[in-house]
Amino acid sequence: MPQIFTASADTRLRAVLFGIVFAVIVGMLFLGDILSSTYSTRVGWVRDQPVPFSHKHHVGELGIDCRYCHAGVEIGAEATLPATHVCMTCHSQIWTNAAMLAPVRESLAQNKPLLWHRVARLPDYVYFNHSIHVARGVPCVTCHGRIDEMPLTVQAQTFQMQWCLDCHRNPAPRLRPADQVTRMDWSDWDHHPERHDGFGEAVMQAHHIDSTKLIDCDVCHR
Amino acid sequence: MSAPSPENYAVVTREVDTIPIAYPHPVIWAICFGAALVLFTLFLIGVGATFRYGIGMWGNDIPVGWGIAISNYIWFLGIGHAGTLISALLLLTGTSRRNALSRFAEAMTLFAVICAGLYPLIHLGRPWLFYWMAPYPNSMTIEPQFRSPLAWDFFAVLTYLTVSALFWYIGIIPDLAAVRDRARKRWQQVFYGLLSLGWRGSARHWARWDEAYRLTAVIAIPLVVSVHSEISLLFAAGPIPGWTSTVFPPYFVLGAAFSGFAVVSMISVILRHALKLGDLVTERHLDLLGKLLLATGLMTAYGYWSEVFDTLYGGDSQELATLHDRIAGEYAWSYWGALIANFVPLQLLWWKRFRVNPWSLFLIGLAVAIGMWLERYMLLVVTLYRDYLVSSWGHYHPSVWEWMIFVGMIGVFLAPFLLFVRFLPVISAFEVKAAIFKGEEPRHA
Amino acid sequence: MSVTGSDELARILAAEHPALAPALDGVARRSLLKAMAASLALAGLPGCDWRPDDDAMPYVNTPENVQPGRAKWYASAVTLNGIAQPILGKTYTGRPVKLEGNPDHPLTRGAGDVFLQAALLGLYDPERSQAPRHLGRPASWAAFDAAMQANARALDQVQGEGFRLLTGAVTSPTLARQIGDLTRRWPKARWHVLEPTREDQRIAAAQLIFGKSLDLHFQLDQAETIVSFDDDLLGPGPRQGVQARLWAERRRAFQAGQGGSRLLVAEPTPSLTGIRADRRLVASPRAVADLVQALALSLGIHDAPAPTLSATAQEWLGAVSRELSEKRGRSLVSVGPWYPPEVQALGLLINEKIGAFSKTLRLIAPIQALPPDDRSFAALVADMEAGRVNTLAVLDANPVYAAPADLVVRAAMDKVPLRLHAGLYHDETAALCHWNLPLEHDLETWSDARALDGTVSLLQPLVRPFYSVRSRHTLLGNFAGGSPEARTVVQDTWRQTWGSDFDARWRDALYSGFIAGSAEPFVTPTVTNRTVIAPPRPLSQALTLAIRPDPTLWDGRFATNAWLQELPKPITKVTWENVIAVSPALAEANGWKNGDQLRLSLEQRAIQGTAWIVPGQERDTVAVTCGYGRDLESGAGQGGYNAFALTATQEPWHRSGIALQAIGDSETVATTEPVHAMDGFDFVRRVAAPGASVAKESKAESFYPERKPDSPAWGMSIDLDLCIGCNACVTACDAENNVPMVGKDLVAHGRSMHWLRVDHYAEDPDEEPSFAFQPVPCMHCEQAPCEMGCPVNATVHSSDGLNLQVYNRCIGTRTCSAYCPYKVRRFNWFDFTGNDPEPIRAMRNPDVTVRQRGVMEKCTYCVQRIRAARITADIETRDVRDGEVVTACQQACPTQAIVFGNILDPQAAVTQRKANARDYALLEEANTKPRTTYLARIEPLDPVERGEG
Repeated sequence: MPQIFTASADTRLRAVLFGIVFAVIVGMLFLGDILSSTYSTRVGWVRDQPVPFSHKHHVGELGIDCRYCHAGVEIGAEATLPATHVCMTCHSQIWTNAAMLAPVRESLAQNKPLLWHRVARLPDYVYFNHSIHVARGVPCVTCHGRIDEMPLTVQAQTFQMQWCLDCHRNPAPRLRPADQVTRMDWSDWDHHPERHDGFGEAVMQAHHIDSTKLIDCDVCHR
Repeated sequence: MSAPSPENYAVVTREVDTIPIAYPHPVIWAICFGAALVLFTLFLIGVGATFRYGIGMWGNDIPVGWGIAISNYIWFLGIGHAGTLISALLLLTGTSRRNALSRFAEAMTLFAVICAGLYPLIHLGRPWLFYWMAPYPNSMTIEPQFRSPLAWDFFAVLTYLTVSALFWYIGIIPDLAAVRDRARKRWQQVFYGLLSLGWRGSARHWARWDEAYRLTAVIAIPLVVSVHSEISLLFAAGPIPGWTSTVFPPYFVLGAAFSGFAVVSMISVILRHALKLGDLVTERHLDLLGKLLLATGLMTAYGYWSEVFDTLYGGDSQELATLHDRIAGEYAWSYWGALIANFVPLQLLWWKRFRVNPWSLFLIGLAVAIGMWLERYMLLVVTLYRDYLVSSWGHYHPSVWEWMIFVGMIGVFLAPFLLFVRFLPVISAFEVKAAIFKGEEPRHA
Repeated sequence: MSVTGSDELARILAAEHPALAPALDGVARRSLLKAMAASLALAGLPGCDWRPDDDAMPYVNTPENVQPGRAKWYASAVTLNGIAQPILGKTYTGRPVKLEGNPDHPLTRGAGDVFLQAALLGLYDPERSQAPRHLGRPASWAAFDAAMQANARALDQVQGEGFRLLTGAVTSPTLARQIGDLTRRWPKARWHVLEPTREDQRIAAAQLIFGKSLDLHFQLDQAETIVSFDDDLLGPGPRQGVQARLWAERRRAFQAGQGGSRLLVAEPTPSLTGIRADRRLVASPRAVADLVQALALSLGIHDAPAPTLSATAQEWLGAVSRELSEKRGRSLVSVGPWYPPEVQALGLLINEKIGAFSKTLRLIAPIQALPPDDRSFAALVADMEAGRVNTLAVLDANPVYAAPADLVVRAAMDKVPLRLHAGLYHDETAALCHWNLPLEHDLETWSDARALDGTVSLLQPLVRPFYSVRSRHTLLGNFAGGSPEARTVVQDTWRQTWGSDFDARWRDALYSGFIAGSAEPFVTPTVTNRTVIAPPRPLSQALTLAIRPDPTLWDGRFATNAWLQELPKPITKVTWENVIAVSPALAEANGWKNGDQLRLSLEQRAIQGTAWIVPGQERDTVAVTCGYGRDLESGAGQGGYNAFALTATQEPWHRSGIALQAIGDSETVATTEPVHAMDGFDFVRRVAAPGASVAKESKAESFYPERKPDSPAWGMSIDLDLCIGCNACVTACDAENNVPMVGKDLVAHGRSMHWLRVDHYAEDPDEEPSFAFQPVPCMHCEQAPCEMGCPVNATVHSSDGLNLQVYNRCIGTRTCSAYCPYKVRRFNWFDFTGNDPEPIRAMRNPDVTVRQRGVMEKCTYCVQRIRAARITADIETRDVRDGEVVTACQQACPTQAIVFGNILDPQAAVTQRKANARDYALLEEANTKPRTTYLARIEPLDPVERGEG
């Protein structure tokens, strides 16, 4: 009877089996990577907007406080986007004819809202409240990154549950003086831990923040 | 055809190992397989509709959130138990009676477990998220909730599936090799050649094989017990009258074996007839099955009795109400149906005459299979449709889609099983030969 | 794409949301788009990114003190039978999402009912008529105005000869003023009122003995003994909220051991009042009238021959007169508005005898503006038939549907050359009118209305109208050829009354929602006529028909309101239709079962309905309710039968000589509670005296470690002694939590989605059962079986003791529901929300997740409110105050039977409630340690039963 299989058949079979197992493992790892990649989290992606608004210019260079435009941040859940009128308070004086600002003038003239595309987008099913975070001294930069260095605004963090929980499980290191929440550059703070030793813990003491209660599901999901 | 004798093992080989190569009645087989495929299609349609529009397509409601999906899950898994139980137990006890039965019993186990495993998935409200039942690293940093019986179902079914598949496959390798050696057509040679993983029957192969086979058997035994005990917690863990009971684990395991043996008896009778294996699956095997059936049946009956006794002895008003609903409620038919189908025909098995007669055995097996299905249905529905608060009493009538999926599921079971019968050695020929060699396998008059 | 008045959007809207298409005509577009912008952005129209929240649209110019994402509350009112139900409306960026009773209102103090709660859905109702029509075809307001001006000029010539105005009940001072002006300008024009469920027989009774019409005010908080002759004091209607609140005040005092609270009721068919009664006598309508006679006789009010009473009736009457004599001046007798003026008058005289006047029974000048001839609707129809009417203006009334059947309105309509219909819906009357003029809903209009005590509420718009609609006041002006602006009309009324300090008072009134001190003063009436002889009743031993307003659809005006359609009737728990209620004995005798189709015929007319056996109904009484069998253009509200087809002008509520037979077939009725017997269990516990304590079961051991509650530990207490089963809590819950409505078939299939249900129990014997109500929300067990059962951590326990349901984690194994001893969990069997029309999306509460198909949901203790309160408290660095978190059901409960709070705070109301001896846990034996517990019903034996009588 003629041989069907060469002597090396066993080896090849083993190789194939091993290959399959290997492929599965690698495939899973790869999938995991995709899901956590900036491709799916959209971190660092620029989106086209009606007006190429530059936070770098307005915040970084002109030093306008966040709350001037995002007026709701201290009183409500939403930080809110500025009304066209707020833009025009300045731009009725300066850059009055800049082509770049045409949509803004048009919006005011025709009483049409500007239509922005959200950059920092909350996942579905999540209720986030700006006011309480600001009141407790979670600085803007923690979630929104160095806005003052963004010519075009991009999402700075993944906004994945894991990321939220990192802070909710251990808030102390993230807390800053509540009167400086809009401050962007905290490098010296980070470099000199000894100057604010135990600050976070003190805040948590003062406001009876219990991190075990910060991870109740209903804190974010209702 | 002549009786097998120590002189010519060839007969066994011819009877068993030539089946895959040159199947005796291809036409009949094709018809059966076609029928199985039709059922399979029904399954796909039913599941498709459910996934498209939601579980609302089924008859479930509040209070009866679970229906025949879950009772079938338990039923199929129960059937699955017989195969491994028979093979592993008897292998370890060294008796060789199993040889003729083991192979297709194990195959049956395998496919029954697959059917069972599908049910929990399709009964989900959001089936596309089934993998949340598994612990895996995720961006939510959430794991399954390990106090829940369902979380353990996941492991139970997967483990059981893996082990029984291994057990079955290891067992079949030598015979695959035998088939390979007799294969004439090229594709057959390659096909069986690959499946038999280069088995050459050397002493080393046999030694390794024996080790591996016994090892899996040792793993399989405790699983048989643990898996269905765990499934029983699905009910026993709920604080609902009629469920919350400590007798459930053993009760379920025995019931499982009971229904399993019933189905094994049916299959062996059919195969014996269809493939003319009368002198391999002998009357002694049928007798054995009959006895196992009777034994497990009686133990199951004890479970029934103890449940009733506990209720009456405990005297909890809610439990009593549930008992009353079982024997006289809207679904009393399922209780009495189970009682009668399970235990009345069973009594015939006290007489050898009925044990060794294929047809009586087949019919009794059928009755038990139906009876056990009714029992699962009864345990689930009767408890749910009327629990504590009168105000939330309800009803449950399976919708056409549920029946479609059920019938289809039988196709999901039959289709692969028929393929197995057609293309793989249904009986462990080499073991039979060994038995003959040891002189354990008698001649026929 | 941009959400402004672009034609592009108009096109998309028309294509995707037909409900809105008509509204895109002219004037309304802007306001529509303003109102809808946010929700459109949510809905995700073509061109947007797949993520629904992709686009952000800031205001062009932020309105004063509007903070997106932050609720604003406005005080206003909705009306029922023209009577104001004061509300606070919660709005998000200009969209009302929840209504609550106005707690500052002097009369209601925040008490409300199902109709108040469901008014919100009425505003967004896609079935509303959304643009004017002429001869059935869409028309423009301009065309209408032109037509009216022409018509008005013609009428001016003849002093309004032939102009007839037909309205519903009017309490609005402004509307009354406008009508006055109209009739002054057109002396020959006439005004008629048709309000089917109005208490006009009561007004007539007052006429009879006081010589002038007066409104009755039952001071239930003063009445230690209340004798109700088939008067549903606690039942549905404009009086419910107020009277339930007052009764509850008395009841609470009684619970605290201060004075009594006795309720004796004689009635033919079970009512909320009867179920709450200490002694309930089952009596036919005739027997009830006789009882009033007999009582009057025993008090020597008249000397008419004594009617014959059954033994039980005499025994009951004995108890009544005993109680009345004991509690002189602290007792009250009330006769149902269903009874003829003479019987009512006797009731008044009895009250005078027992010293109830200006103590437990107060009288005020009627709050309704009435036409000179109050009951002139029949006259109107006669005139129409005689062709004396050439312009009929129907303002918010539906004569074709609701008129007594002995008046052939349909035929009469044809004889009128010009027929105008102004209403919220394109209803039966609209179908017969030349002009259909869509009205503004109470929540989007400027108007005013009076509460029961006459206190005037200002109605201010919570949202700009998003359909092409006009207000009552504008339309009334239009009829006369003018085109006044509603707001100015209302302001004019009050400018006249207030003169100089108008601006300040107007602002106050808008802020508080009512005009302080505008209540009618009490009058101490003088009885001018004591010789009241109740007319001889037709002595028919055959069946008597009792017609009542429907507890959920009222007179049919709510027929398109899914919240009310799917709201289980308090007693039968039937949804989506009205049934023919028959007594167990009658059903027995005829072999009827629940669901059998019956043919109920009276004179030439007949209706076909579904038989429903009601324990505790008088043997030979058949009870039906109005409001169903609508014939709307949209096809909504078709379930059930129209009981108005059986009414008659002279005897609207009780008819004799009816015939009833089964027509063979049977149908499934969508009921949420198939069985009402408690089966000997003690789900509802009872004690014999206020102080008494319920039997406590010995604490069972648990395998689970004890949970150490951590403050705040939220808990709820429900007082079954105060619960009247009115369902307000259920509707409030639906509104607050975006609970989907699933329709008749799915309800019948056991898939209703109410998070909170009010169980109704009727214990044997069938003839005189003992009733009880029990609201059942999620119990938030400390040892919750559901939490143990869930394989994916979708239902978990929070540190403050809530049993949380995390929708986005749920995969729908339904184990939690299987394990739940209380079966309070609800499952999304299908996608119940995906196909909601645009207005419904706009109505949703943004604080609560809209659940996806295949997930489990349940009562959350209004976790969104808890979180909001905690955030506020945290920002102010303090603990949440007691009463700061009010759940929707608690807020809506007119008797305050529900109390919620931190059970670890010894001062908290809930803690004190739970300390009460009547406190018990439902299904204690299940050992789930529920955070929701109940207070047992108090059912004291009365003297006779004590064997002292």
